[in-house]
Amino acid sequence: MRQSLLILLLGLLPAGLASADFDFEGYKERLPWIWETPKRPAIPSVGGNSWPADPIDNFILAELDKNKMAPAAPAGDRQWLRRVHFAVTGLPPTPEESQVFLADQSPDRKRSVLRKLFDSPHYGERWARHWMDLVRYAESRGHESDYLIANAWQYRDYLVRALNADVPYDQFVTEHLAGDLMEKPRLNPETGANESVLGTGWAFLGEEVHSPVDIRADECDRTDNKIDVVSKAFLGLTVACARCHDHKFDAIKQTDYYALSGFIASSSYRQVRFESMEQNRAALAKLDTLRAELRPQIAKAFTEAAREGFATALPKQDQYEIPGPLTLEPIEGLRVIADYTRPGATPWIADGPSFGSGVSRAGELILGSSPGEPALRIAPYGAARRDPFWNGLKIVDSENDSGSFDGQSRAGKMVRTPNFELKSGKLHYLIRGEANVYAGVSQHIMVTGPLHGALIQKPKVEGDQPRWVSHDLSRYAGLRAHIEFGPQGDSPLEILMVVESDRQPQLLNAPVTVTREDLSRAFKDLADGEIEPANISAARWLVDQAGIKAEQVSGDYLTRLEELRKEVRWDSRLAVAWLDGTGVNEYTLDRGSAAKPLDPAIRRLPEAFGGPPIDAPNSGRGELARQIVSPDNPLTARVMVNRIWHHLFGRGLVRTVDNFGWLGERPSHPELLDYLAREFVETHKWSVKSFTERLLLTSTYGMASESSDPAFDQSDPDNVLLHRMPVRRLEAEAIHDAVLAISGRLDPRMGGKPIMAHLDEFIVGRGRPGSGPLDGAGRRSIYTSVRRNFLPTLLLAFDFPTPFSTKGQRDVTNVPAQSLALMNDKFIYEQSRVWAERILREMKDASPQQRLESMFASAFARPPSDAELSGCLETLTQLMPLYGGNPQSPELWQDLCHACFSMNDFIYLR
Amino acid sequence: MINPHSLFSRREMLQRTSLGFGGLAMAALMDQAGASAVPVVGSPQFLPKARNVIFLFMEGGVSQVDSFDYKPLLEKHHGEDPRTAIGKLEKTQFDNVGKVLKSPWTFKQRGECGAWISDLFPHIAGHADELCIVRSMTSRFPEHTSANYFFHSGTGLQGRPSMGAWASYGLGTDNHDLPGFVVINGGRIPSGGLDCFSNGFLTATHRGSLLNATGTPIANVRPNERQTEVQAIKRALIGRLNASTARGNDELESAIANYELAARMQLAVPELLDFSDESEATKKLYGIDDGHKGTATYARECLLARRLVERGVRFVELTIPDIGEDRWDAHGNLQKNHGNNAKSVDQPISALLTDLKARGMLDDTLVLWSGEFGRTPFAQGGDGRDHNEFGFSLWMAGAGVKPGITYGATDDWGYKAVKNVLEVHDLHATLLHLLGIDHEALTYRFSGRDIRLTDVHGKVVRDLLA
Repeated sequence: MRQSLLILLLGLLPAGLASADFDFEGYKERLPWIWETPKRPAIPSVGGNSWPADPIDNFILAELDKNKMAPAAPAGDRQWLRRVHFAVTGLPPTPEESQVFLADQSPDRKRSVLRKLFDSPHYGERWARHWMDLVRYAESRGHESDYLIANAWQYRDYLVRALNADVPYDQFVTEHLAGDLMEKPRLNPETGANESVLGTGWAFLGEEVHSPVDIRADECDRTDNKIDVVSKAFLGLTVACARCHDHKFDAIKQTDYYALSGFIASSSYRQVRFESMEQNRAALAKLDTLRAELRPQIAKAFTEAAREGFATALPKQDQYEIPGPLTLEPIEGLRVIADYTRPGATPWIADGPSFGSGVSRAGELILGSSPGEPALRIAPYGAARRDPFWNGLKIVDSENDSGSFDGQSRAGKMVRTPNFELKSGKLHYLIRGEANVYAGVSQHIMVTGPLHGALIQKPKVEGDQPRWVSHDLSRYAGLRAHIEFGPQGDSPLEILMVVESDRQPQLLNAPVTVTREDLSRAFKDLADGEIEPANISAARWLVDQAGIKAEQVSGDYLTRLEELRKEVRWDSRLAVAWLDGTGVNEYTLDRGSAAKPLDPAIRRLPEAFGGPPIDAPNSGRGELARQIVSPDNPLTARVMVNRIWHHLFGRGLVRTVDNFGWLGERPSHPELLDYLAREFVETHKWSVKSFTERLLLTSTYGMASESSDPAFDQSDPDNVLLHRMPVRRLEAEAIHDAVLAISGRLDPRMGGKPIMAHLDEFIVGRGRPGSGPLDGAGRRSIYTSVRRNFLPTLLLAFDFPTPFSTKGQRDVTNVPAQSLALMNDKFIYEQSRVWAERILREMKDASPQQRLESMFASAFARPPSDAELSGCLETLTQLMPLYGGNPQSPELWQDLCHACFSMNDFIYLR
Repeated sequence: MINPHSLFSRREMLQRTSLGFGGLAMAALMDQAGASAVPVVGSPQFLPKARNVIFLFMEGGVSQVDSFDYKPLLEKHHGEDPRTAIGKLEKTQFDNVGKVLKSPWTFKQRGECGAWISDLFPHIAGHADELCIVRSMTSRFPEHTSANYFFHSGTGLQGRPSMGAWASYGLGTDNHDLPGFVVINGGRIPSGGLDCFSNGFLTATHRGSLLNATGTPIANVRPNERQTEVQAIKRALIGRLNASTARGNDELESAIANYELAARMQLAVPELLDFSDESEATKKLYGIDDGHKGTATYARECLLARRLVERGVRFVELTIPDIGEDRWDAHGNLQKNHGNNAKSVDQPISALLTDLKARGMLDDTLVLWSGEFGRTPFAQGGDGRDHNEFGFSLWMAGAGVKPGITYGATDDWGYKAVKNVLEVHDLHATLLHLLGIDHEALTYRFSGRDIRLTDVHGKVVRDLLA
């Protein structure tokens, strides 16, 4: 009653007052530490206790002391080894690896095991999967038909490589937020591909809706999901709670939410040629330099060659009627969205080198690039002009977008307009050539179905003259948009203007009359290599009359061009990435309703961080990243060290790893958290590997999982103070991969296209893809396809998360479905057979006992106890008659292997 | 505000270890472990009218003006331009607006209550006096997937708990060997896929378990071993070895118990599917052997639903059979589409109502029949109808709802709800109320908020309550 009254009252208030109960300062003060840079705390004294191996242990021990508890005894070597193997690589130690470790008596033996594990490429596979939970990684778009996200898996491979290369975390975060904007992107040392840009792919791995009736409301939902991911994954904050009102519990204003939305609204989706972009960026710069250098020489040579001809061949007249410049009829209410006829009129936003490095202006000398071509042409008008030099660019080995979006048609050969708001929506493009046009209204990219086909257009303007083509987007009047242009095939393409107007503007192209003096002036300009604007028509006419071929006057330009061609990387694969647009400050929406925009919110991190606004002319994501990875940022390092702690110890120091706010939990060891954050940044220089290794070498991590005194389990039943190591169940992927490793089926190949998941008859629905091999082709589960609507049964049974938003803390259920899976899942059963056959093959003459010992070593990294051994031997005796009394029966040994896979000691870490 | 974390604290504490796909209640576990008796269900907050729900989901969107919402005006203006006859139209999914389209089915007043029901559902019409018909339901989404998510979870997005999951979370289950939320799959999984039955951020325990009406019923309940005794021997070994290594650890002990429960489930499922204890008359009533494949499949589904409810499964949802027809989504050829789909479900649903009533089960079982939205009173193209979220019909029957009433109304065209307009949130609030749960108190803390099935909306519709 009271609540509904409140709602009623709030409904009557103007929107600005609706959140009068929001107490920014109060919310900040009740949780001050999350807004303050962590300070390095004093290391607690433990009075000479020799247990700590690292100051980290002092913090744990001091708390235990305070609560009259003591740490558990050290874990056995075998337990520790199995732990660290799964922690670092997600795979069990082989019996040989166990033997080597047990035999090693050197004081550095633990460290050397860890060095080896961190050097293993399997480390990246393990930790990439942790990260994928944070960015709701999937390769399809969910919703009704679960359309494919083209090349999403390149992001997964990027993660694996980045983690294996131990890219410092601040750089890693920067790559996620602004990898496309880095001045010096990180290059793949082997291929020269741009790694950094791949980091931005996460933005588009969420759900997308095809044919939404309200395209703007749909955009708001997509943006909300991105904000949820960014704020939780990097900052441990739930900013998305402030979509409709100021945050109910934390010092996050509704305007903070929209301030973050602007970063997203400023940038657009693309399929990026990540393998060729850097090499070709350099080649483009060389091409520009080469042309700038040779243009005057060629022009000079051209005029010398032409002088004679002109003197004799030009008819002797006082005046000449020649083609004139293009002019635009003045129209009332005509709105220019983009003007590429003059440099600097419109921000230049291009993907790839095909349109050069900027507007090709009127009067520009265009050099012929093959012997038979005219040596020179004068650009009659300014335009974003496709340079045929680049026509050989090819896309290899890549998927194209679902629906009609067709990212491939523009990848690496695109010019896009700034962001703008449609008024009437009646757009007209002045172009020449054949184009693939995409109107990015409300960033809608899943273009298929009945409603939004109009976003895609393929206009053709044949001949030498540009013409207006119209694009009717009046359905979308009032919405934000940008326009992307790419060429069709090898067609030339020039984009001159994008305007909005009720009717198509008229283009005037009247001939002009020039005198011999005019021609002389133009000829002189030509000889100087620089055409005055007034002389463009005359110069152009002259050049066209001359008919001089490149081979006659171009000197070594053609040879040097050929050499430059060899420096171009023509082939590239594609990946999902952001493309930076122009800065947009998103409207704050009244109660989150797309239909009720209020004032724009200037882009920034939430105000409570205290940083300056980021009202940049571009998206400003670079500055956003800079503020997030600043060592002064109070949350970035804390959140990350807490995540690492969570993965190693099964729970974070802040248990709610994605929410450090009021509704999250308070840290169990606040000073340790701050100590770790400082150490991570200052001592470890954001190195995830070295920081993780350090945690693994602590005495805390090295404890046994049984308390040293049962009373501690009463006083600290949830083990919050870490008086022992918790028993942890392996994640779905670790179980799956361990089965393959133990059976011998594991194919350690890394990366590449996903293996289609095996789908049983319970994984059904619209858009169901074909089912893949039962054993996932032996590859690690990270390489199994992740189709949103078709997640595989076995992984789901062990709490594989539905990829809808950040999930830093997986559920750990303990349910009969898991027992059923281990008993009856066909993959487990099949791999038991593979393992059994391997044992029979490799241990042909061994006794049952020897075989069992080997099986225990593989599955549990330990020998069987006497009781276990006798239990297994008895079972063999019981089963043997069912298999014709044959002690070598593969079925018999399959049953034993199957039982091992079903043991708690297999799926749990102690 | 009541927090179920404290309300159901013991259950909450135990569900981590005891419930599951199996929805296996901890009572079973506790009994087995010899622990003190703990109630199997989470305590309702007040006396529940319904113990179970059967949700007959008519995916694709049944046309209200061809079924439960009689509009004579459509006949009068049939063939006219709706923009003239009706006035300004909202955008639709296909924006291919045709003429005003009268219903090809005849409406009659039925039963004592005199509710108008068309000949599309001749069998269901015979139960008019049991039905509580709502003609003023609305949705917020005109696309299937968002509307499906919305109808199921109160949010038009993927990844939120479905109402069956909420019911399972709020009340637990009465059955030890079967899941608390079962989806009987007739062959058509709704748009949006299995996430329509998601547990969302609730633990996996509450996810809707798919039970196939035909073929293998449930994932992983059929052993691979060719000889039945093999699995028992293996299980004994696993139990023995696991026991020797558990050393009193709760987590490990629970995993051991799961094996026993899993084994019991392997037996419970075949028993559930074995219809040999049903009389011929019952099977005939449902239409199990009907020549129309859709009818036969849906008959199986409805009979299974009754058997599941009998066994204490909290929430049963039925998807429609695959009959080579496109759901109820009649963008073209309304007569064929709706005719065929109605043929599939009409007799089995009628039989379900009859059967539940005869067994006295209708008193504590709520039957809910609805699509995710309705259809336009004007044509899409020539003879289809487009999606319409502005007003549509559903009905409930059984536990706690007023029988023989018609509630709410759309405008004269059957286009938009105008009287006693309801939202999906109101339906959810009412549903939970019937189950004995205050929808404002059933929350789960996720993503920094205490989230409800009804979000920040919803009111219990008292006028519908008996």
